[in-house]
Amino acid sequence: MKKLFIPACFILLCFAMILVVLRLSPVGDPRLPSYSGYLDPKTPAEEIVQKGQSVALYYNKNAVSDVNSMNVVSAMILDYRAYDTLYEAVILFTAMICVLSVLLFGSGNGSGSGKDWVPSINVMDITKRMVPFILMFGLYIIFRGHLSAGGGFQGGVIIGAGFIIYTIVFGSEKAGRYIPEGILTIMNSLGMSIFVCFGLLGIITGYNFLTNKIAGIPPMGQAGVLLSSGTLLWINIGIGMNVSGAIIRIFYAFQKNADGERSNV
Amino acid sequence: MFNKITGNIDFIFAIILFCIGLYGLTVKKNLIKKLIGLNIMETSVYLFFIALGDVRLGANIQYWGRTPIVLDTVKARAGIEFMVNPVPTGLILTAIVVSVSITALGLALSVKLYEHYGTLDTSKMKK
Repeated sequence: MKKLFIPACFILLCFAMILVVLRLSPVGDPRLPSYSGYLDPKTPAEEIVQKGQSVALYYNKNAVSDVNSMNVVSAMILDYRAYDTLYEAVILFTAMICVLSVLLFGSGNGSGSGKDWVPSINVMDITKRMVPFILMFGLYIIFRGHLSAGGGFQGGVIIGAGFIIYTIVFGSEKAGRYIPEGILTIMNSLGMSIFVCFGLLGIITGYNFLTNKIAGIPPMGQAGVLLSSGTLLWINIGIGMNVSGAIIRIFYAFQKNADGERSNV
Repeated sequence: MFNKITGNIDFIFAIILFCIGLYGLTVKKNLIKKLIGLNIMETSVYLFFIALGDVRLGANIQYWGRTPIVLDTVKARAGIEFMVNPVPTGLILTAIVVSVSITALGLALSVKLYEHYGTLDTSKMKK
């Protein structure tokens, strides 16, 4: 009886929340104020999209002419609300610093090879063949962030995953030869610097911080080609460097801590 | 009532996931399980927001909202291309990065706590 009391509480909470959620308008209703700004329930749906005055519809209609970016989400987070994204990147940077200072404080000076198991020959072979393609795919995602789905965060995580799988299979000693800690530090700092410097270009040309098209930041070509959309391309590269560096460094910190444990035992 | 349930099925699943995650976060004693519960909770919030941003104009699948990537500039300018609301998607991108940071920091702290106490059980740590 006592054992069932806590789960029963959670099921009750679940039902109460579902009762509240059922009062929302159904999923996909175009008459939500966040999407259309129209509150007249008799307006036809197509007319809502054409004449609605909400910020979401503004983004959908004007992202190409304002930013030269085909991806509306990228245009939104890297141009209209770029200041927000700057601190989003800072959050990841700060989290990386916190993880490093927590994990490598004290007993974290391991000298092990970072490898206490030998993977089968199939795993090693497939990893060796797959890692270049994973890195290539990550770069593709980063550089086409303003043209199709993707961007700096997603591509950076894919690149980080490529290095992580290499480190797991071949050990941190061999992986550290390809991407040493010094390069990771430079990648992190350079990524954040690129972001801030292209923001400051807006001030230098006489506009606000992170102004993009009005300030005329260099690759402002036709919408839909690779070299277009100004700061979006550079910021995506900067975020990609920052995120991939942070992911790999966090993983290295865990690995180093585990090595230290192993060598102490 | 049945109509309401089928129309809001995404929200209902988000709530169920949220309660599962809250159960894991509060009741389970293992720190790693607590972190897994936290991640499930965050996932439910993503699902809720993405469902809020969805748009379906009528029953015809041709008029359902697409991914917000412009294919035809002229059509998009005239508002004939039907794309979902991009604002929740951008918000969730921020939330995912914050979630990754929290998980990394939480795992690092769990490692240090395990080194100090020799256990991941929070009830044994108090003794």
